Amino acid sequence: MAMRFEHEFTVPVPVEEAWPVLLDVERIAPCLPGATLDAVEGGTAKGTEKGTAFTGRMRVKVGPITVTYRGQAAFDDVDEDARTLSLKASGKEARGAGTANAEVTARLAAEGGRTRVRVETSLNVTGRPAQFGRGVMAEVGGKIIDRFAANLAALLEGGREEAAHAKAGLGEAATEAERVASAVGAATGEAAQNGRHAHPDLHVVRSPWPEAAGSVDTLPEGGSRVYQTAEEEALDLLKVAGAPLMRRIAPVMGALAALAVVLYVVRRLLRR
Amino acid sequence: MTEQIKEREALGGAEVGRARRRKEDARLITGRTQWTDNIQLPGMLHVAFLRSPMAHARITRVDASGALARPGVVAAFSGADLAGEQGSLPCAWPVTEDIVIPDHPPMAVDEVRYVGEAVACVVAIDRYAAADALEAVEIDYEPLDPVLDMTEALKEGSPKVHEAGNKSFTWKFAEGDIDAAFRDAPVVIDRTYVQQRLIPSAMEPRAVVAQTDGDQFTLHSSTQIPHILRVMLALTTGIPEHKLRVIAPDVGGGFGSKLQVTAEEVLCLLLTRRMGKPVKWTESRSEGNLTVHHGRDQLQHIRLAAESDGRVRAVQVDLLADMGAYLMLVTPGIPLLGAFMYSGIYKMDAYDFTCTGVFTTKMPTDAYRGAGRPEATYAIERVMDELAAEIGVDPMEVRRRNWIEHSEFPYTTICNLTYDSGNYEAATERALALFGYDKLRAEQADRRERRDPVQLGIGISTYTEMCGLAPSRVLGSLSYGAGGWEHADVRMLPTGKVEVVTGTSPHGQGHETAWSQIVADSLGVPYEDVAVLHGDTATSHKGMDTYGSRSLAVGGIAVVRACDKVKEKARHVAAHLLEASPDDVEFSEGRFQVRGTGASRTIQEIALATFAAHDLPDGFEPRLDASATFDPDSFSFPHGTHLCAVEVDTETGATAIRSYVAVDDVGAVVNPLIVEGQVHGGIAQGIAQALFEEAVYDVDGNLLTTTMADYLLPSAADLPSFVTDRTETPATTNPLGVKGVGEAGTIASTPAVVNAIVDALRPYGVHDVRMPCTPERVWRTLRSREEESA
Amino acid sequence: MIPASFDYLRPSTLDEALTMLAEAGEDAKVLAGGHSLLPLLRLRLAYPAALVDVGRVAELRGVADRGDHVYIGATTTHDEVVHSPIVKEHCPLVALATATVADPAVRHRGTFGGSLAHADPAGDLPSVAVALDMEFVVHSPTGRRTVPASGFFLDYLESALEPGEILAGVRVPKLGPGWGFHYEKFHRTAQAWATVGVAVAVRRSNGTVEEARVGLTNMGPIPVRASGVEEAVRGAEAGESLREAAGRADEGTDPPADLHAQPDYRRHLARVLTHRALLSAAAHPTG
Repeated sequence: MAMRFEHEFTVPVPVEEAWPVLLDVERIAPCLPGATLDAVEGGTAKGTEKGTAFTGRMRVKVGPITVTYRGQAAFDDVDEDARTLSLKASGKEARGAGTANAEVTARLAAEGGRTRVRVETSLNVTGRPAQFGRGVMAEVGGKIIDRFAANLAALLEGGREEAAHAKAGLGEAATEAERVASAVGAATGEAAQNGRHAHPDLHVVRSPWPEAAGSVDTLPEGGSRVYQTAEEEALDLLKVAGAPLMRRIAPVMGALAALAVVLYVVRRLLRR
Repeated sequence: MTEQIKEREALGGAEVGRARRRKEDARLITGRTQWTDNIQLPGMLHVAFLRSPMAHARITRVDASGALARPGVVAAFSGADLAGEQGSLPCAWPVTEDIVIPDHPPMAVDEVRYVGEAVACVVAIDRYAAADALEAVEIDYEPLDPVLDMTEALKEGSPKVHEAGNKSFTWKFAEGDIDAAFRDAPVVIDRTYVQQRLIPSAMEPRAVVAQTDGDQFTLHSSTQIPHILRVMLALTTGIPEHKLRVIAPDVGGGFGSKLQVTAEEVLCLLLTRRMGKPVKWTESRSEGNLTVHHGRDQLQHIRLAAESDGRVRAVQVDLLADMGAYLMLVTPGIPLLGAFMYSGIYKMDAYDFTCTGVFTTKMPTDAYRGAGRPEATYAIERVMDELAAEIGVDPMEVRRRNWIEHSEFPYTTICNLTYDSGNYEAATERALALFGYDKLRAEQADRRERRDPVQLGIGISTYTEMCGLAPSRVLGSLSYGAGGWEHADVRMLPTGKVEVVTGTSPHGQGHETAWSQIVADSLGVPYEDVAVLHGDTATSHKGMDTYGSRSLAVGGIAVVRACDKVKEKARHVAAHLLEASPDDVEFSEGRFQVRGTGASRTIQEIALATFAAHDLPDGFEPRLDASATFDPDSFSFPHGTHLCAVEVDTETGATAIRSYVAVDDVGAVVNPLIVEGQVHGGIAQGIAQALFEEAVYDVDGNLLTTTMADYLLPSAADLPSFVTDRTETPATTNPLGVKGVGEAGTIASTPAVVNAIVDALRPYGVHDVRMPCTPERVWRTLRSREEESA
Repeated sequence: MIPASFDYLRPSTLDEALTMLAEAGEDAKVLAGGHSLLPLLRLRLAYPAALVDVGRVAELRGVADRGDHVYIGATTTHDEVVHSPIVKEHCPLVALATATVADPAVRHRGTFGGSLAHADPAGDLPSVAVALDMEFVVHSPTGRRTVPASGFFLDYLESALEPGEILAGVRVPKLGPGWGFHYEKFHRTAQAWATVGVAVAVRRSNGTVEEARVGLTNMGPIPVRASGVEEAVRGAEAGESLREAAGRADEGTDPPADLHAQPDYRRHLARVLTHRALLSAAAHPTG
């Protein structure tokens, strides 16, 4: 099941400051709720370049539902001049046959003294989490990416670097990450809280309901496949007054965004 | 009155025609029986299959060693591990000379082609250990492009499911001058209908238990076809047929889904051969939704040419049939079973049919209740309504103008089938009366007038079908890999009780009851004194099993014939004991009597005398049993008229069936209660296709409907009370005059419901709603029409 | 499917349950009727280390009239709720909505509190809880707290229950005389979850609507109040103005997409069903 997400936000720091943060995997990883970074190969301690690879795992927990992925991610492209980086990640369920693959592209653009960040994520999930039509897992993917984006926004803003960083240690016990992940609304601790309150302009674009295949088109003739325009879907988080959590944006099925998340994650840890 | 009816009357008893409650039900309903999953054998191991999460991928690495380290695990295998012995799952219906039948390993070796395909298995001491250990099997895949849309699949440059391409076969049938019929035709209706993919949902999931003593193999399986399975497994696994016993214990439903030789059956046999211990596999419901063969999934392009008064000239059908990733037992033959039914009950001058079987990266399709005939009936009955709308004539009147009249039987249709009997007028008249057709039409007019947000629609289905799948010669001419006869043994036991061994394999149809009724009347023994044995190739050595509404129309006749032979033997013994000529001995209600005297013997006395064998006619073998194998000359053709009234809420798109009338003509009836049950269940299943069920794959080939939360089966709460009745026009092709009722309801009801929905919405410019007609689909269809007209 | 292994614990008192839950750690789950949790276990989408089965904890079960509110114990089955004279008399909306939960077999096993604690926005009870401003009584080893319905449902399948906490019961405020109720559930089969559901309570006087409470099922990750509708119907004549007010039912909602409905269809349904629910509720005031 394929999903696409787009997030856009600005942070009040100049692009020169934002860029290195984006390359610091140890600081970025904890933005991802439930992620544990296990190892970094290639690149330098603080420097990331094309080819730098990471292994890790990511536990997605929604209510009683838990899916854990393990796998790897690697920077596919790091273009400092264009302020663009992309990475590919692939993971497998720790306790099932399913897989998750993600491609993430982040672009930074200077806007005066601020930085506009655009994150595009495409995510493909297989296995049990993908095999549901009712939105059980549907809710999960978008939510995780949202939390990630919000945390990232907070991190780039600099205010919560420390908090985020505290959780980022390499090889940190999985339980810590899991605890963090499971705390509802706490995502990565305070970063999440701040992420959702600090970015009134975080915009997300939901991907359309995945098309059904061929002759079993789920939509009747004449039905539109995308139900709302991007503008309509764009959701100003702050306007969702009273919503306890950042809205998950993509009621797309399939969970896993989780993986997407895979961003900084994944390589078959247990492979040994 | 026909010969057949005389013969039926000659059965003479009170059992046939009686609405007996089924004798097998107590044990089936309470579960106090041997369902396959109930079987426990000493040392039995349990198998769990790891299934592909990918619709299409190359397998680059399999490492099952991790599973071996898990507690309770005895063995683990990949497809490659078994490649040398697992063979290829059989397709027994190569419909054309040049059909592409891809290799179909029970466990994938190099490539997976649908989500759910088995890629590895774990054998453990219990089911939990096996399932847990699947987590430790490592498989790497290199994804390939999925192939999901039949039309796209046939295009140049499409990704290929198999090396040989995505087309399996093209099969054609034509009769009459189709071009002439369409040339200058005053009316041409041109429609495309989608037969959505369905998932058979038998109450009992599939289960297999295989065991061996090193020489002899026994396979228990929740199957419809123990006999066919034995032959096919012998050919597939190399286990000699005489070393293999197949048992279908009590089986909880099939609907065609257990008319199959499954990967799991083959693999369980191989595993027990390798490991020397019994092995069991039982599927979960979600596993079943992924991997039980699916049904329907056809794209039907149908054109109909007619005169301006609605008389049909010709029908042309161009069909794409989704085979799924492989051809299973009779996958390619399913659309052929419908090929001869597109003319329905109507007369026409020309017919042209083309079907192309297409491979996609989805679960293979195969037989599902009705198999080919529901699709054909749907298309012709839908398009007859369209014709009626086009020329502005009541849809029932259009049917009257075209149907075969009662006086015209036997009638050979444009499809070269000879319908032996039928009375469409009688069934229709009865249905219209029960339905209150005219009154409902008046209400419909009123609601239209008032622009009532809840509109009323009336749907008609005047269907027929071909069933009693049998004539071996005909099946042979269609390249089917087996015959269509059926077998029965009837034996009198020393105490006067009777054992019937049938080659049919009931899985919910009530054969034990119906066969007992037939035998009770034929032999004049109490109904309770008859036992029916089935489903075990060691006791039932010969049979063609149960599918295609064939059991009574073929297997039931074999029972009658075997009883006749037993009676004839008994007559000789009776004559001997009564010191009379056999010609002077009459048989009636279980008693042999010398004509004109009071001297008589009961058949039970004859049975005991035969057993003792103290005083038998010279040269008489001391046995009171007989076998019969029956192979009819033709199919049977049940028919009927179903009428459905649906209320459509135009604000929400919700539909509600307000009334449903079914008048079926299934010929003579052995047990009206069983017929009633078949009709009710059949209608429910057909309504389910019209309104509820659909297997949905997403664009990546993931099946989304793996649970009943997403694959919606209606329950009694979602269905109206059906009004049913019967007319009885006996079949002339078998001595009981029976036709078969297993599929009729399913075949009839789907078009009746959709015709009603479309009828309700015609004032809004709607001429079709794709199945299943969900509220959202109805709403969107209405909305798109509104937008068009705005 | 066969679930992964877990420890099974069966306390007989609430204190014992809390202790067991605390000792079992964060991966423990509370099991009541099991009709939401067990399917997830069987599908291996949930791997709790332990299940604490509160089915035998007597103090969690039953319905009581507590003066200004009705207390419904968490493990009271749906069927018991539906047939409780107290519930029928004082909170008929609860009885109406609960009667639509799945089928009789489920209603005899599934529990009122379990259904709420599962926080499934497609469940029928959460929207009723927010419409009626129920209060959730939550116990933990350190004491007891109450959580208003408006703060209980945090996100999809996420409630305010912290690890270690058990929902003991729910207080349903009595609304008093003059109210009419209706739960309008739209679903594809009797057993299916609501595609959309609308829980409505309306107080009428002299032909106008004085006050209305409208809760929406499955119109977002949590049950929501249709506050736009509530505002618009206040003081409205019970006629065409109700339709107009119902037109605001989807304001501020974020309906999900799934195999049964897309968001725009759900929005449409919410408007239509809210109108119908308002009409029904307004037509049958109690007391």
